[in-house]
Amino acid sequence: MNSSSDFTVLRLNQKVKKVLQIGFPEPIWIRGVITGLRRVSSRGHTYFKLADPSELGGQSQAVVDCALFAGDRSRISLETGRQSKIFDLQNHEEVRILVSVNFWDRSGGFQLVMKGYDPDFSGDSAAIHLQRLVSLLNKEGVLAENRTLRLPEVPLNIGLITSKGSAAEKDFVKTLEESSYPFKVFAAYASMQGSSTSDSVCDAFNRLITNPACNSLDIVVITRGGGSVTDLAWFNDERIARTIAQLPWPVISGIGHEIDTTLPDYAAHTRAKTPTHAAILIVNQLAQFDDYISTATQSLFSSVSPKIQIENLRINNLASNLTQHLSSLPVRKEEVIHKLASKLNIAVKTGLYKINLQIADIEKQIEIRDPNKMLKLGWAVVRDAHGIPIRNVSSVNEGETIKISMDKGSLTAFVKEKIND
Amino acid sequence: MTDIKTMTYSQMLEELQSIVNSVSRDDCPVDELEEKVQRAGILIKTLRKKLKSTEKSVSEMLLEIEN
Repeated sequence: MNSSSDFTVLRLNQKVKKVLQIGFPEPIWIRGVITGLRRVSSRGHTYFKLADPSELGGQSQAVVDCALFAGDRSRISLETGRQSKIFDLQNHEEVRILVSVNFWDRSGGFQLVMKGYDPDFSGDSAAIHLQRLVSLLNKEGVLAENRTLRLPEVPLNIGLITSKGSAAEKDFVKTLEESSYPFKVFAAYASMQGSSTSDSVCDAFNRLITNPACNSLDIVVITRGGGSVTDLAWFNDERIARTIAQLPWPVISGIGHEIDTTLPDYAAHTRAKTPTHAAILIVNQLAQFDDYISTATQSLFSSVSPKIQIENLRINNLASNLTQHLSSLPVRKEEVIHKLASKLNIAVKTGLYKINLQIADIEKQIEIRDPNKMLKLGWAVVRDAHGIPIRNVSSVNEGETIKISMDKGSLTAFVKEKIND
Repeated sequence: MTDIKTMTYSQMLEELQSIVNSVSRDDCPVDELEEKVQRAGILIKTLRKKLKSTEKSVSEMLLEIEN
């Protein structure tokens, strides 16, 4: 059944568009958090979703598609610039924007087209944006990553990310030079202000990573001097935090003054108040190690010295003992020889005495048996005709001539008769 | 007899102590005495030299560390 009152899709869309135009005849201001930001570089258009703020990690209660066309972007950028403010939409940023409510009758798409931007709200919301980023990245563990690295005890090789020739660079390097330590600084210069900050800083970090000369880096410092909140807000980009989280070196972040806080401060290993303070932290770290070495050296020296003295004493004692024993050694050996000589003397004398006695005895016996002495006592010796002594009667025959020797002469006689006993 | 060049400080000290003991007990034959005393002299000289050189190098190292 056909009816002329039936809607075509296009007619419905056109009707909806008209209703919306009646409901929203003028652009309206709306607040929300930017998500899903993407820039189509070929046309210069930017698309994103605007969401009601929600608990982090949770679903937003409502979202709406938004578009920022190239022409509007240039105009808003120019207007914001005239107020010395920054216009740079970021994911997770809470913004107040002027939009026209649009409905595309061909595609049936509902979309907000951005026409204006409240830089003052964004300035106020910079802190909220930072907190939002901090909470989000903290939940992901990104901010804790660099703090898991150990701060080297001797951070002599320093990677420096800063603006070339800036006061920050001069203050930092001067403070290092004023210490007596041989620091080496490898600078990777970056744009530290403006919309290119994030890209330039990430690129500088990457240059440090890919430069072989930086293999020996101990620590990396990212620093710049003070500036307005909006100047420093350029650092509140999660890409910088994510890059820091992936670095193999601990990072010291010294951006702005003591009162300023930026995202790299949260992502870095250590936060410094100023560029000079960043250098002081490094010098102090080295001084601490220096003190430790000095104390250890003293302690080592005071323990080695007595040990050497004890050994010296031991050798001297042994040498002295040896000399003492050696000096008395000839006397001791001489005593042994003397004792032996005495024993020998006594033995020889005793032996001679005994021999003398024996000789005397023999002499006495010889003297007793002297024939002349016997003859004088009246004894006589009888010999036969041949002069042979006759010892008994049986050796003599009767009628035999015998010779009898006696004191003072001899007798020749004839044996007249033999008488046996 | 071990070559002194190959001996450690402790080994040298031990041998020196042994010679001193031997001489003090009078059980060292006179024929060996001259040789033993000569050996003791070399041991004492080497031990002192070693100790001095250790002391010097330790001091130098500590100075180097301090500077």
